[in-house]
Amino acid sequence: MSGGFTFHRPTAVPAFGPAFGIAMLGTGLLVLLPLAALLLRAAGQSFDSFVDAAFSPRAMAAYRLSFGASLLAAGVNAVVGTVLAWVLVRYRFPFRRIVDALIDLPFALPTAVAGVALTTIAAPDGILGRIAEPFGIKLAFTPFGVFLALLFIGLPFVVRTLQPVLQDLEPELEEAAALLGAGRASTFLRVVLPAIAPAAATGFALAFARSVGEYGSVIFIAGNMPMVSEIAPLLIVVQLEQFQYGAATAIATVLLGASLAVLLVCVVLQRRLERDRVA
Amino acid sequence: MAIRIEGAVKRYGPKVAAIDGVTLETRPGELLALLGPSGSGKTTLLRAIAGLEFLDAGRILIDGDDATALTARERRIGFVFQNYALFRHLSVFENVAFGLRARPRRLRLTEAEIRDRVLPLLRTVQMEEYAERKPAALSGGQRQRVALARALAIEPRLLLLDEPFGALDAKVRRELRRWLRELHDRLGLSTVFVTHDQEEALELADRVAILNQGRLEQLGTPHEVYDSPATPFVAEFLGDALRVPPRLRRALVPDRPHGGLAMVRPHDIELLPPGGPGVPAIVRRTASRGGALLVELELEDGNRIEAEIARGDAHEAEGRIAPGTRVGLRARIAHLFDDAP
Amino acid sequence: MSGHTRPALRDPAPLAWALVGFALLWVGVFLVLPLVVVVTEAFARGWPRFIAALQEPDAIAAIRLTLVIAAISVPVNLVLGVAAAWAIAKHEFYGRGLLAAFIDLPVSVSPVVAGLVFVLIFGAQGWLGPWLQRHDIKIIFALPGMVLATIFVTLPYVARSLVPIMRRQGVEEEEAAATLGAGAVTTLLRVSLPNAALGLLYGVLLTNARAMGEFGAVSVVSGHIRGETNTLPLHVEILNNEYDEVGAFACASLLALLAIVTLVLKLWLERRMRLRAGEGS
Repeated sequence: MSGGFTFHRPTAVPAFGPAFGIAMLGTGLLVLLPLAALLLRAAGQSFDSFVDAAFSPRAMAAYRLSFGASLLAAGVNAVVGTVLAWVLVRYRFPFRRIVDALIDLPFALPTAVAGVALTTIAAPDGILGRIAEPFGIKLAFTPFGVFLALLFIGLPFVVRTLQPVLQDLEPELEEAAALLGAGRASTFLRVVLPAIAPAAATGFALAFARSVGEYGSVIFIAGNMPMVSEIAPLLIVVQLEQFQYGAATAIATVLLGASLAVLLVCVVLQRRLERDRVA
Repeated sequence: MAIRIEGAVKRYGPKVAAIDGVTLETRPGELLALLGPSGSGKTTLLRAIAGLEFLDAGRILIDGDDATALTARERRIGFVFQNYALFRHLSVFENVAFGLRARPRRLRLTEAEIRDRVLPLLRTVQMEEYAERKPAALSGGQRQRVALARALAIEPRLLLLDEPFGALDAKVRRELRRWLRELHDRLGLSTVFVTHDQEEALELADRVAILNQGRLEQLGTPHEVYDSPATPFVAEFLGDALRVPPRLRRALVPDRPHGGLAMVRPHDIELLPPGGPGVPAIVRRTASRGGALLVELELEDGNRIEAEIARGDAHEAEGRIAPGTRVGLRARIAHLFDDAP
Repeated sequence: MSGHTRPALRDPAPLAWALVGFALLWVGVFLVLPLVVVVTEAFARGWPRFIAALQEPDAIAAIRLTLVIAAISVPVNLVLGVAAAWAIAKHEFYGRGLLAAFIDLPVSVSPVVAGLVFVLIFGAQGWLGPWLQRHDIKIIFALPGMVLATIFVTLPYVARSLVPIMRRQGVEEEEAAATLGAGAVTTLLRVSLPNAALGLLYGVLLTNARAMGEFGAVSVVSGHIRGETNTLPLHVEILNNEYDEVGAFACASLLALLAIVTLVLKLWLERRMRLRAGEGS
């Protein structure tokens, strides 16, 4: 109790030890240890075979598709999600609460269901497919289908990260800007946008990380042609089905590395976000 | 019940000390105020007594027994939070009953016994008819009283109140202040409360402990601390006080013309006819300050000081304080301190 | 539709209309339309075919397995999530952000990777594979593996919905409980969790929805043995691959119903929350 370094700030709130212990044990055994097993397994391979598997032409094509489509989808979601969050926080309109609840649909709807549903819509004889067909655009069974599915699953990450920040935004900021003669547009660009940018970036990063790893909703709509519309997670499954554990491990390691990198960015952003909100 | 704090130190980070070596002792049954500006460490000290903060050094003794290592749960000290911290999902009745229901199994009371304990308490704080309400449906003063009843329900050895009137309007504040004093006299429970309002502390408390930057400046009865401040800080914090500049010292404080620092309260400045003894000055402005009259005076060097006289005072009647009038100033009472910090 | 109550925060009316219109259109096309499609396709050949598709032995076995997996993984994640939220939201310690990041990690890890790691540990080629085989314990291509993969994937949701609420509420009520003599269990069950009850409930609902709907991770560890290790989402894929559209959509519609119920309950919970907040004022 006397001075010096303490790992846990003493408090009258009880049971830090058990809570921390259970949480650490649970995440350790169920998440961290398994992921460490993957990395160890990857490290167990020879460098050459790892590189051969992880960066084979087929794998590179899969990364290009997974990362490219994810980047694009997360980018569109960052913009659309900002608009949706703005509309939901700032306006009152019919069905607002239902729309708000629906934002969580991609969280709640099993990915396989989303996959078959989006495929049906985007197929050449589907509702959207028929609209696109005359223009010579194929939505389903192409890389574009991958983008569509990722658009669906990434949206809530942006909206749900932005909503609380927009809600907490002090109205006085915008009022002050208005009193200083700023129009709505410049108020948004110079006052609101900087305030919500870290949250939007966090949402973008989360949507991106989720999209890179997404499997269920994508494989139905993608067509899954090697080198063309085969996403990286699918390639892992394909290698596993052929008992190519080394190759599967190598590709999974690349994907995990990407997730961890994005997560690191998120932690840094989140920290900024919290600091800004306190200040 | 007496509590003794010995050499209490609480640091936030290596350089910031919230409490920096405080030693003080309460007397059984007294109402003690911890008074100080924000950041003086008063709330930290109160929380440390309750076991909600852990000291980096020092001891806390309850009736002579070392309680430093006891948890808040074990101390049986009633604590009323500044924002009340009522359990928002529980009714008024259940809030007050919480401490009784939280007892270990062998001390658990029956439902009837709980009612017999809670209802009289609700009556005491005049909240009987609100027993089934949720805290959100109560006014600030009502929440305050529920919080008090909840703290009293565990039959605490000591009652602690953190800024008990801080969140209330001026009028409710005054009513509640008087009510709390009466309640204290009725219950005879040793009570410590924190406040930043010197008027509140002086009016309500049996003794006042004045804290500044984590240190105890003075501990005494309201009269002692006001009439004989131990430090310049205490003098300035308990009402206005003028630090007498050396060049005015001889004229303003003729009976103690040398040494240390002299401080004079505005109401201890006497207005004399011009030309006689005292510091020459011109009345520039007067303003009403409730029951007193504020007189703004310009000295010959252009500096301004304030004096305070009772309303309806002879000076006013005789027109001696009309703006532009020349007067002489002299201190009736001055507080002297060894060295000027 | 009405603009902001503070005039300075009101957007020009045409812009506001355009934004709301865009939002409704987007939600309509990307969120409502898929739901509608699932239901209409399921009933495309009428009720009898729909009912028949769900009464198939393989479908019933898949439904049962899905329920069993959820029944095991949701309580485990409830305990882990509450413990993590309690530590993260009510305490300050070194590495608090790190623990929060660990809990959140599965959201950004590919479900396929989540499945793979368990194959690498427990599979025939895995570390413990030979040992498990000797003792005749099946984890991969069996229930335990599917449960492990499901827990991995759904770990974040309880903590994610609890932490923001618990943190915003601060620790004063917990401190008050301590001064009133309450221990850890009383404080948790009578103060902290009731205060965050609605968030907790939604976290559990979401965990349940994701547990029942998990596809990628479970797919990797399941082995797709019909009638044995096939969950409802996996069954949807099999039927879809066999061009049994009515069957696929019948099963999909059950899962869609799960999502809809989850969201309706969320709406109801939010209403309760608003009413509770409005109480008294």
